[in-house]
Amino acid sequence: MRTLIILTILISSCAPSLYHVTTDTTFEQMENLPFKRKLIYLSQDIGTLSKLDSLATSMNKKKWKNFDERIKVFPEEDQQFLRSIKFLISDEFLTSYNTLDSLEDANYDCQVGLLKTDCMYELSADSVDFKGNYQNSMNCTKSEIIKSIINTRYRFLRYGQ
Amino acid sequence: MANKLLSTALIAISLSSCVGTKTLYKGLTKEQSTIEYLYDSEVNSSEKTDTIRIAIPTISDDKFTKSGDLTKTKASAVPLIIYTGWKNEHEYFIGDNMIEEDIPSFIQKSIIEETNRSTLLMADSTSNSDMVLEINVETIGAHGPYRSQGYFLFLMFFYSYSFGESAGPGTASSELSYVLKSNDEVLLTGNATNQVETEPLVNNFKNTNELRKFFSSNLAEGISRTLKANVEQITDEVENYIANRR
Repeated sequence: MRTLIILTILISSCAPSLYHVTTDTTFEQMENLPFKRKLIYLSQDIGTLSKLDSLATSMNKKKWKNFDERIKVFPEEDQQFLRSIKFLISDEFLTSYNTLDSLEDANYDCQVGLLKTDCMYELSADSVDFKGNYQNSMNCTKSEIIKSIINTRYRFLRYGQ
Repeated sequence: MANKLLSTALIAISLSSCVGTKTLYKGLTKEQSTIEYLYDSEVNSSEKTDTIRIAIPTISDDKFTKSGDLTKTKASAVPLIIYTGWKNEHEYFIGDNMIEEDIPSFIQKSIIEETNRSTLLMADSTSNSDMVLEINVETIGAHGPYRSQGYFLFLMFFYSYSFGESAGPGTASSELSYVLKSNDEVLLTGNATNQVETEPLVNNFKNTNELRKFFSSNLAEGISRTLKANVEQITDEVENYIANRR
């Protein structure tokens, strides 16, 4: 019985997060997977593609020590944005929301608003108009990549997958 | 003990393999799905120049029935003593009862929203504007295959079995025709057609109930995508026509 419990805990702790960090290198591949994930996009406005790729790998593999080292080279505001993603992936939704709260809503291709909606969704905030929030993020962004990410988020809201 | 286990396994497998059309239909039609979507066209915030009334659309597609349809298209079985294998395939046509929204009202609301969002026109359903857009749903629907298959192999000291269900890819399509009138004079007519393929659903479902439910929503989502494309096309064509007249 104890072995079974330990095994269950181990399996659930190793399970990949529903959230997945992408860059220009991996976005298309992840977007076309038959089973959707909730994607977060690191654009090259933040840093060079090679830096972003290794950062995304650290985040997706939840190698947080490595992540903490890597983000030191980024400006403070970018560090804050990246940290909010770390908290989101680590299921620390309230901390993630608070970290995002001081960032401009329209920054990072309007992902600040989108990620805040994600946090509220995960926190099961019943009074939130999720569709309205996704529509606001859609109206805010000019990026086709982010539009596609928002449409997938709305798919999760409508159909659960 | 071993015999008991074997017979229980056999009964369980036979039960799951013999998914009747009625049971499958019940599973597929358990929950309604929404066809709502997000508007992603560019917002035009310039001042509106003309007003237009969007009439409530009509549906002339009698193939899109209220309750949908489920028909067995393939069935095969190899009932040997040491090996039993089976394969069933149904074709599922989603019905109006599986869609949360009333389709004519949904199309009317979507055209109004899209027009107000992306054009210089001010659209609503009640104004006394001379200009009226009438829409007819020529065709609408979505369908796709649902499969269940499995086998049971029994040798003296060993047995093996496998069974599973899968669905899709499905096809969703819609065709809307429209007439733009001003004081009963026909100004413009047109058609918007769109078809999309939904993705195949194989693994990653907790159980067959979840697969069936998701297959149905998947088809509804297909309809939603085709309507979105058609609504955008019609809005665009009407806006271009009126812009050329200005």
